Amino acid sequence: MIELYHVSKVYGRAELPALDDVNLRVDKGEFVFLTGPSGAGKTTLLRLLFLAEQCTRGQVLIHGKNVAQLPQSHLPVLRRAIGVVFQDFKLIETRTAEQNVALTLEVQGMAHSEIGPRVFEALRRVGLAHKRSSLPQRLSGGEQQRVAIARAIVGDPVLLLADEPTGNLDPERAVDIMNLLADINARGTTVVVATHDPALLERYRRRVIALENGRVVSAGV
Amino acid sequence: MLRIVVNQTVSILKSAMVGFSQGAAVHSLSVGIIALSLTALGAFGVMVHQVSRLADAWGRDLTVTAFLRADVPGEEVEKLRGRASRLRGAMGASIITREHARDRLRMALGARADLLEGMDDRVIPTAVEVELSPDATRDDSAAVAETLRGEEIVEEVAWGEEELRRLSAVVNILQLAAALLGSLIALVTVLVISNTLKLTVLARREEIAIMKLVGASDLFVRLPFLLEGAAQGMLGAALASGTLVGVHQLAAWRVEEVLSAAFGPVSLGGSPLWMVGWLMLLGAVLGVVGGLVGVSRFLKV
Repeated sequence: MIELYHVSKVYGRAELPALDDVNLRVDKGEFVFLTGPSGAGKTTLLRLLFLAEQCTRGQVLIHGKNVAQLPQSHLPVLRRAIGVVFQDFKLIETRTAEQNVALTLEVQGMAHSEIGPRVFEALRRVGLAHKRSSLPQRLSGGEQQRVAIARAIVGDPVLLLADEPTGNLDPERAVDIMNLLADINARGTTVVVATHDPALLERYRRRVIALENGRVVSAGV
Repeated sequence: MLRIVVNQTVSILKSAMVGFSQGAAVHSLSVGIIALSLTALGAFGVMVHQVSRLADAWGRDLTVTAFLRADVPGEEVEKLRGRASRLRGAMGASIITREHARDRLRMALGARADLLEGMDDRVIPTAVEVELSPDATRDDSAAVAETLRGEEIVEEVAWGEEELRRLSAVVNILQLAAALLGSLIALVTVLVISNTLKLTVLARREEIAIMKLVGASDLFVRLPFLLEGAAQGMLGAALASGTLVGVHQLAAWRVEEVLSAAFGPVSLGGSPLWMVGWLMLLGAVLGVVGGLVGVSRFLKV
């Protein structure tokens, strides 16, 4: 699913690379934790995977396609196969929960008659069908993250990337969210979660890729 | 594929309408400024059009008159009339006898025709008057006059060359001023629209980033802003058109009265409805250009 070969990323004229000669592989259907202290390169690695950045050196293969060499115009189509969840949810404040989720399908050109049922199903999966008409500010942090997850999965992505998805939540809500991601993985979606919370790693016992100063120090088994 | 395009178009239009309603205050201000600019441009355009129309009409009414030497035999005059009527740009030629000229003079003097009493008819020369065709250019008129001047029996040639030249110069200056003013207003309009849309883009930067994150193409993100720009331009143009047509309805007859008193019968024609289409098109084009200028740099998120 994901293959990285000698990937380095240097921002501007920074002396130290954000990522330094990273090699790793994540298989289809895997659930992988990406961990390391702040500044280790977790977010940069995820940004390369959801095509928000291009690597300075090396090859990033997603589904066998080298995305490092992909023309800009091909990025939107590839992005539609990847769901992304952020620590700060990144919901549009002026749109209701269902409108936020529908955005993923609208940009693909899906008919509005098809969007409605699929959005409802995605919100039902995250347990928020009853709050579909609520604006984000009327929802709790955990609920907002659930909406963000619904938005990420409504397009049936093959890969789900989550950057500190529980970082803004209390431990109880964090477990809810992690259970939800585990459930999504159980249905066949490859999931990569970046976190520096050792409690989550301990609780879920999945493969852990550890980063330090931009280098992979452990790729797990 | 067509279904996808239609569905995306619906989403884009919805997004444009949401954007327009969310930034209503800024958009209204922008529409107002565009309306003022296009009203000024439209008013100037109508003025240039009317002056050109009057100049054309005057040019078409022109005749070239060749005054003949004294005592030219009638058959020579007739031959000259024949040659003159076949010149390029001429529609016909007629002989103005002394008697005919005297009658015309009497009519022109009106109540003061008594001034002609006792005047010796021999001081009024026989003339050949060439009527120019409606599509004759100024060069054609000049060529007719020049040819007649070369005729041995012609003493003097008169046509409204100087007046026409002055009028043409005025029209040319007005047209140049209209082009300059138009360019300036186009630039101002593009700047106003692009700055309004920059504000809108900045306010919705996060939203744009999220749209791109979930796979929106650049076109999908850009089009609502271009449509907002076009809508601003067209709304401004509609206001400007309404103002121009309204002012024309209210004031045209008064202007016609003033001009007619000074230059003889003048008609300004009907409402400048032709201008409405042009202003709407101009508004839309300037809006889209403003949108392109305004959002291109800000959409790289």
